[in-house]
Amino acid sequence: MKRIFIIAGILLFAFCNLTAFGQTIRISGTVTDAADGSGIPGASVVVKGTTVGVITNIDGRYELNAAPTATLVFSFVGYTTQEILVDGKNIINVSLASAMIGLEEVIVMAYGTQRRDAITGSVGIVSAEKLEQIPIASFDQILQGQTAGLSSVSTGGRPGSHSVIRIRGTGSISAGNTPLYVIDGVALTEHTGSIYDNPLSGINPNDIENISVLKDASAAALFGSRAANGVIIVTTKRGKAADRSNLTYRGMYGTSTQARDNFNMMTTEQKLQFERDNKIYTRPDEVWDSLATINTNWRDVMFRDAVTQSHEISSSGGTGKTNYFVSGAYFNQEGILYRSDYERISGRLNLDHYITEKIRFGASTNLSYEKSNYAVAEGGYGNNVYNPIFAAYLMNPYEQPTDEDGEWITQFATYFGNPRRELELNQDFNNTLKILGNVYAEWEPIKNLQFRSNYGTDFFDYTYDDYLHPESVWGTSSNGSLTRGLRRANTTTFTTTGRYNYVYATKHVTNLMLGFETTEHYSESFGGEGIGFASDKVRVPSAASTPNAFFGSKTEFTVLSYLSQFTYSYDNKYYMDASFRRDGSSRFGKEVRYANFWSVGLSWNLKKESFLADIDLINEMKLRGSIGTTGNYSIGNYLHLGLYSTSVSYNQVPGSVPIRPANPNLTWEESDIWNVGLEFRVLDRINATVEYYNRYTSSMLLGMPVTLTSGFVTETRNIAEMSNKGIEATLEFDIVRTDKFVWDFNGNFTYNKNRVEALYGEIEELPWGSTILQVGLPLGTLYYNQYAGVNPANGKPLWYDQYGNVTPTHRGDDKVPLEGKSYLAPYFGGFSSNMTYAGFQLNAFFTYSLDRWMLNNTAYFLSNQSNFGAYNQNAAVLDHWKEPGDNVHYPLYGTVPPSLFDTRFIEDASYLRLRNITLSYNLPSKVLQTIKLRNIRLYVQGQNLWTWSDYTGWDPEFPGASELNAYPAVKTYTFGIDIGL
Amino acid sequence: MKILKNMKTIKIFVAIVTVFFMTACGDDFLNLTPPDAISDQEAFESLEDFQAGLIGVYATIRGGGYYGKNMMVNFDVSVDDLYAVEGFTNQYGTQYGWTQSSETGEVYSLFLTAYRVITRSSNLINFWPTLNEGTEAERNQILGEAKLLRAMAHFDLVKVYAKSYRAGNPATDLGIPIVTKENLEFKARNTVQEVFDFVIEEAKEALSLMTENRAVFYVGPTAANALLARVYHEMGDWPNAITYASAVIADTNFPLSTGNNYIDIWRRDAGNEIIFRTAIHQTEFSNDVNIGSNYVGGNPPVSNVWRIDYIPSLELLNLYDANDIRLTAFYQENVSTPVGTQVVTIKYNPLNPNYTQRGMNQVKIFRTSEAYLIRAEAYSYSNEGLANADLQALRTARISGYTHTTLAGDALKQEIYKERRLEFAFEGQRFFDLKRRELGFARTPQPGAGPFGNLAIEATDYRWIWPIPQHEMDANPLMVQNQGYVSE
Repeated sequence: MKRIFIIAGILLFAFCNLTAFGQTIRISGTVTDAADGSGIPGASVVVKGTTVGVITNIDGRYELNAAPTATLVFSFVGYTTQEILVDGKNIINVSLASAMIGLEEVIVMAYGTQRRDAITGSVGIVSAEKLEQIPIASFDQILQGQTAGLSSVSTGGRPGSHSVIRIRGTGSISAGNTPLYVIDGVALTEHTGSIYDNPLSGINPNDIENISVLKDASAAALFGSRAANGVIIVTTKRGKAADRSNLTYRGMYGTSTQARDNFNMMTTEQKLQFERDNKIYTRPDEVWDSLATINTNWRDVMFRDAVTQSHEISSSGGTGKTNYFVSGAYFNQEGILYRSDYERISGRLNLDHYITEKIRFGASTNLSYEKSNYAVAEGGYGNNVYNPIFAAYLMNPYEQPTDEDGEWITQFATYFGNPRRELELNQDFNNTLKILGNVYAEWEPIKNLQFRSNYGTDFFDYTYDDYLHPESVWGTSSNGSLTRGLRRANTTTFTTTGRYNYVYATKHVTNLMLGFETTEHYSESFGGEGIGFASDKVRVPSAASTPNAFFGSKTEFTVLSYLSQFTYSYDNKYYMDASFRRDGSSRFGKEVRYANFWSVGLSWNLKKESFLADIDLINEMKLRGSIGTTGNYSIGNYLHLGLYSTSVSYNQVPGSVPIRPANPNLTWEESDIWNVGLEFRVLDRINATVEYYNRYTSSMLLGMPVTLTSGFVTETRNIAEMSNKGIEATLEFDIVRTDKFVWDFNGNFTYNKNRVEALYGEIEELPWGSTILQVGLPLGTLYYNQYAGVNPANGKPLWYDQYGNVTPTHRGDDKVPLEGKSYLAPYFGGFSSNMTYAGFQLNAFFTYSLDRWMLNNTAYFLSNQSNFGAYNQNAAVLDHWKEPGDNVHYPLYGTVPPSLFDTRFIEDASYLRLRNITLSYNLPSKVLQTIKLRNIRLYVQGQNLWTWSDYTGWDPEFPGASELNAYPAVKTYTFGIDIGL
Repeated sequence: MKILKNMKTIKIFVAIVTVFFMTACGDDFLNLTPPDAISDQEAFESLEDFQAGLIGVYATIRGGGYYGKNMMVNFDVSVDDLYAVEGFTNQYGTQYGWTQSSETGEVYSLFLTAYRVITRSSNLINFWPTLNEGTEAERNQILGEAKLLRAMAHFDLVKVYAKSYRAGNPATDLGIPIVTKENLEFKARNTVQEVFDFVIEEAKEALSLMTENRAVFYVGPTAANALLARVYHEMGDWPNAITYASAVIADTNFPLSTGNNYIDIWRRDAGNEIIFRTAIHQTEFSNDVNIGSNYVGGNPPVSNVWRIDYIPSLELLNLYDANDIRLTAFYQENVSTPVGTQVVTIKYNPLNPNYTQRGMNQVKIFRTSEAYLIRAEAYSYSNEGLANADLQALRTARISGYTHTTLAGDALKQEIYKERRLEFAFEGQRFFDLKRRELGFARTPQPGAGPFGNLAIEATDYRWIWPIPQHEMDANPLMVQNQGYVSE
């Protein structure tokens, strides 16, 4: 009689051993991790061919009786199994090597872990080594190209900035599209998308053990109402029992420059000629002559070689009863734009402790303090010459930033002010304290039954400070101004789960989980503005002569959830899981507040079938499929309530006006997802996965126009529909694997086809910013007038009207959907190759995005044919129309009415980018032994060193449809060292 | 034995899980209300709530979509008193060039803002029977003000989006939907006659309810008389126009302004004859809530060049008497502009030291002078002597050393029309005067004027009636578009 109990929470395998027949000897030893020599608790030691076995204790030690001629099998999930002949020995110590990703790996899933072979859903894994020591603060930026189905588009080169992440396409038009982030069991608050409150930047990427990307219903439905956009589960490093605790120092230093600068701006000589030809300025001759002697490259005035440095000390270890991981890190990154930078100090303590064998508790805490400077009016904020990024291009080369004495010039003859001086004088600063952590307790009252309670918090507190210097051009009219604000937000999640495992007749393994969760969020802000400062030496609101404004807000939401999951497997051959979750949210009306989400997944391990068992070519093969529903509740708070605002006033008396009518039917967006996948390993060196998915979003929220006689404009209703269908493929290939030389390749590819399926009523198209929502076309399809070239007769631009006739007028009605040109790339992915030889390792990682289209709005202003000739322009414009018969790209200066966009500036923004290349060297162990260190690793790496793209703007990597003044992407060279003690 | 053990396990499991589920907080946990807003069920309970609701209506009236700017500027640039300068910023260029369509922003914002005045006052009116705080006079004053403002918004809408009362057949011409409730129901257009009947009935009720003119930035009985006079004048109901205009003139609190008191109306938002004006706080002005920015150049000029968009018509300037105080009050000569030295209108160029931008000004919605000119026009059909007397009274207040020559017949009417144009220049009246009198106009190119400086519009042009906004056409199946405009 035998029974196997699986305690799913921590995955210890317990064996009730029976006495074996025959003569036995006592064998003992320790199972250790080959990587760091620490003991592996919970590893199984089984006498081959029998069911006799034990598991190792907290220190990795074991004892059992076996025949002297027996063979012992040592195994632990995530490690390569070893078989050792007893051969009469009484002590057998084994060190297990970490396995390649195989079917027995343990994967962190929703509310627990699962063996990889038992997973029926679609999960992408990003391991620590992919995330460590990359010179980027926010780990979401590093996820690009790491796993199929996940698209990550950087929001630019600003230090600390976030990335726009989409899992399996964009699933919503009006509600949020960001995946749910769960860090050590704590679901993070939705990110507002503001550059100021990226919740992920507080986490030191080096602390991350691995990331699971849950993509389909089976994997994610347990997160119910928040899972429609996929789930990213981040697990941080924890301590393991070890003879000796380890201590690691990691340091990195590097510099960044603009990754790509495609614009070839006019030189002084060219610009002055352009101004003369087009009569842009009238000047006395001597002024023309004196200007000709100046040639300033304003990119050099506004941009710099920016320094990045990072230092970190971490330690982990434990007795088995108590294990810890602790780290402290400092990260400092300058932006390439003067006055923009980012600094982070972070600390983490992860602790696990067994009070008794049945009761365990632990905590994960991450504290971070971030300080950021933003260049005033950078990025999308200012579409004028004060925008420092824009100014780097638009400033005329015959202007110089300083006078003969090296003092900043305040104003120029042709411009309002000196953008560099504005940068130096004004300040836009903020600092953020983030606390992210959880405490948990686990109790196993009887075997196979386990309860776990987890209390997590995601807290941040930030202050910002916008200062306009009294002597700056911007601050002059108010005699200096200071806006200071505070914002605090906290999300707490309290989760309790109970699990029960039951094994029937050995082969039937079942697991039932029931759980309950509450989520509470609040956010509040307060701030004020003062104007009139006697001196720039005082920079607090109380020093202002006039308090100008103050403001404050508060908002809350709650979610109440019941969750359950049932898994069943038969003989490690057939797997089934089903999950069900019921969520209620304060964001929806009483009658429609609750919704149910479910999923069913199946998987079949074909290798276990007799027809594959003997085929050596195929090492593993698994077929899986899932179906289910997930929801999206990422809309604002209180939107279902009919509300009056009291923020209006008249004659300084406060009044009330309605904000919106009650909308009691407002409810969740729902996605139906199904997924099929095939995983296999062949020739013992190639792992591949191919998947197909179909995600259909119904009851999608869309603001539907209502009669204006109601006093309202739109009402958000669950009315539209959209689909995302796609194929994902992943390949891992060990090209060469010898003792000395290892060469591998891995890559992934995603094709996602988005389609708007329905809008509302009979409405089939809806202009949506620079794009159009049209039934049958993908989201993000660009919507512009068709450009027909320059009229050779008079140099004026021509367009096509909506019927295809050439017309000299640009009319809004002639905009057409540019079919096949969406700013959301349908093809994307990444690939890397890694070579290791005698301590040296070379890794190159590429990412790509194909068939992506974007409006090069920057080029519009830099090759402007209406009124931007007063500023510097792209040298290509010199080739504009000059006389009848000229057949050229650029029309006569002054002939294009301002702010008219057309297909002239629509460009293919596909790219292939060498995201990272790293060469590292590990000191050999002989050397290490003499200097008594565990390891030393030296490396140089380059980030974004090479980009292939036809896009003529700054950078093809941009999350929107129209790129204007984006903070340019950077390329970074770094040198680093890791020292292990 | 084994089974029993399992049963026990299951029992413990179920028991503990049940406990957790029982502790689940119920609906209270999910019933959240915002700390920064009031439920529509609780918005009208106390007297203070009603007062706040009324303030909300006034705040809507002063919005840029309505009297804060658009109700005036849209129509002033549409006719022949203003010329857009060469290279102007194209603000209100659509109206200036008469190229408006159902997609035009101002066509939408005026319609929406006026209906917001209507629905917001309706909420107050509909909750009013539940109000039991305050004195009866207080309660009636609140109801009366809300009703008058609601009537005014209906009247403005029907003037803009429908055929003129006198020019058409009001019993069958489509007006605008009469709205007395805030809801999302589709509403069809009432006839012009129905809208006018509603406006008159409501304004009269408001007049009977209100007992005081609280302040110049709130409406009271005098404003009700002024609106009724304006409505009857629009209809050509001269006896009633005389009745209500006389009631305004009889109110000694609002005598005609003269001399500096008249200039103060425009420079300091003060002056005896203002019956009702907006109260926009200095922090609430913006480019969209700034009636004069396009006439005087909004931002403080870096140099002495005024970046104006529109200059007054020379034809209009030549109509003023040399001794007319309005020349001083409304115009400044020898101003440097991007199109050379020009006369510009400074009607909305304040001296108020708190106004940091040029063009910031309170919008005057009712003034006593209008009552004089309404009554003069009305009397010209029945008693030319009294018509001459009203015209003389106004001109005496405006022109120093004025001596009146008695006029008769069409000459008298023409002088009254001319006086309206001079007095109400840039106050949104001339467009509706031309529309009411079924007249077109022709612009004469003048120095500095840009495209459309020679535009001529016939009296029969369909564009005198604005289109219904496309948004409304899409959202409301009962809505009918005005003739001449294409709706998709």
